[in-house]
Amino acid sequence: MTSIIKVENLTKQYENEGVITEVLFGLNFEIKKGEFVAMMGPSGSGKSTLMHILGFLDKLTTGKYLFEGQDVSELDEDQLAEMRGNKIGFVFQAFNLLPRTTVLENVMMPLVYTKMSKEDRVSRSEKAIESVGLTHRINNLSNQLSGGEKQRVAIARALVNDPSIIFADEPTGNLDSKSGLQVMKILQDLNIKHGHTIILVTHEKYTAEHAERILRMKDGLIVSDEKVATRLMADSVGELK
Amino acid sequence: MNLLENIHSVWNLLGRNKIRSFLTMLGIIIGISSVIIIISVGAGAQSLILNQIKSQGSNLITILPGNSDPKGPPASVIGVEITTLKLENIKKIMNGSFSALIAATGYVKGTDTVTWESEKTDTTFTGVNADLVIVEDTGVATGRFFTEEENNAMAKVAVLGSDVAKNLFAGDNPVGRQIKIKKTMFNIIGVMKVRGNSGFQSQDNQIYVPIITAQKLLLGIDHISNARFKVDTAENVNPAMEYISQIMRQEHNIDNPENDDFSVRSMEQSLSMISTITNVLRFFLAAVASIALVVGGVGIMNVMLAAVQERTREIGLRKAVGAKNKYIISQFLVETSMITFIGGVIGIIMGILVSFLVSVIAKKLGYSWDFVVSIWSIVMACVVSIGIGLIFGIVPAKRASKLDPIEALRYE
Repeated sequence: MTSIIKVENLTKQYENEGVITEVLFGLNFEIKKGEFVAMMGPSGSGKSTLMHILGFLDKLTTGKYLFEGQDVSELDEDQLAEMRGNKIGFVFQAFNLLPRTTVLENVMMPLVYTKMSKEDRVSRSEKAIESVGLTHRINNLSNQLSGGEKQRVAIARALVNDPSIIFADEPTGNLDSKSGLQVMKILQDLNIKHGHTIILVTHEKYTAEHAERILRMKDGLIVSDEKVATRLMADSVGELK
Repeated sequence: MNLLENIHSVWNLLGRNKIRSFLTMLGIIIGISSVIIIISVGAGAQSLILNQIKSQGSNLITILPGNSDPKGPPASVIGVEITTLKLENIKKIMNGSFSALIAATGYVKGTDTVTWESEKTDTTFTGVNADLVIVEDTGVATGRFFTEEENNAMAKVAVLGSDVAKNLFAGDNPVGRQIKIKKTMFNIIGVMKVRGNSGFQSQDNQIYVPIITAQKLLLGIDHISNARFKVDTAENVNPAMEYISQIMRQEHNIDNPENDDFSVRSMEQSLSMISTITNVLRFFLAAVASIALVVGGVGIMNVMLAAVQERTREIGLRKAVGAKNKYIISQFLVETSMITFIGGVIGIIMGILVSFLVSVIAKKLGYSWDFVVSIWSIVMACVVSIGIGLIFGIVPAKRASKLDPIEALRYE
């Protein structure tokens, strides 16, 4: 399989009023197309910072980051924004939906910044909403949804631009266990049935074991990188409504 | 995202916060409507004044004492009393060879509390020549006007303005009765037709008396404050002005026109002078009213800065899904200029309505008031309101675009 992300000696430092804080210390790893990888570690381990760098929200300090073979460390702000729009889908712990806005409008939002026609945007968004089983909620306002439904809308939004990779940052963190399992099932389906590459950021071992590979992080270093021996499948929760 | 879609989504956004949107617009609504009202009502008032001056008769020439720039107001406006203009000057001009001058009158004015039995009224008495009725295109409603013979004989006769007659005699016919002006009894011989206001003073709240009587008995002066001549046709106005100036220079022994101690004006010049003054007033007032626009703009900037804060997460999210800085800037600029534009449109409508109402009321009160809303004032109001949105929107928009997406997404 081809490599989608390749990181060599990646470091990240923050400078605040002359005080330098080192967050990531020379990371090396590779993620291949179609993989479902969990980045796991306690808070402060640097996993969120790493996700932000991999998702073009932040820049690395030294080292090399190749995305689909392209060195991204030299891209400017606008080019990074374009990469986020075309290549990346984000799912956040806090859902981050626009309040008092319909499901359709929320899902369509990333496409607003492309040159796609309005009709194409609507049909793409409808398909994405269908794939997370929320067609019956399409015209509801985001604040009328349950937590699980909100996160499914967020997944539809992450899918709608047909990204090369989906970053899910603690996607089940704000959900009850049943809704959490539904979300994990959708992510697994996207990975297994549709071949999407997914990076899941979590501090829970249980959630991480739904992935096929776990990168364990601690104090800005990757301490282990191994296949999940017995991968948990979220099938058992039954079909979605 | 194109501009139309951006406008559409801002429209929805404003619709969801109706009260806040309206309050945000209020400053602009007030500012724009005040400017429109002042410009329009100002134009109406100007038309009223000009119409009334025109109603005093056409082809008129005025002599004022003292030299003055034809474009500016005469010295007497600011209270300078000049005594060089005499009744004899007028006689000399009229007795000359220039036949196009058909009538002339001098003017002197004073004020007093006029009494009839126990009734009193504060009014202006105006000393004029008998030709006033020709010069000012007017006449009496009842009785008669005095003659030049009565004037020369210093007759104690008076013709009342219609308001004075109403105030003193409450509907009774005053002709034949006597009133007291400055302790002198006058026989009332007539009442003038209703004439309305001229410029800033009522023509109906005054009493006409023979000018010589007024000079000698009431005021104790031998100069006049101004004089008016009526010319037969419009073409003869300029030659007549030239002729009047010549005679005046002869009479006053002036050989250089720069040393003139009088000013000769045509009605046209007076009209344009008054237009100049009222235009200056209108635009000064409009400038004062437009301060409200600046205040409104600052208010909108404040609201938009708060909106940036409130929507920090949204901005972070939009950046995370691929919005470039310029999209964020344009989103906020479209929002502020939509607010100001909608406010501007509401302000224009309100301004037109109020101006229309004023014109209706003024017409009901009997003034010849024109309802004028110029297209350029509407176009200007639209441009200015959008401009305010762009100017006061740029700071919040820049601030929004500079937000770090990671920080913004974490913002609680």
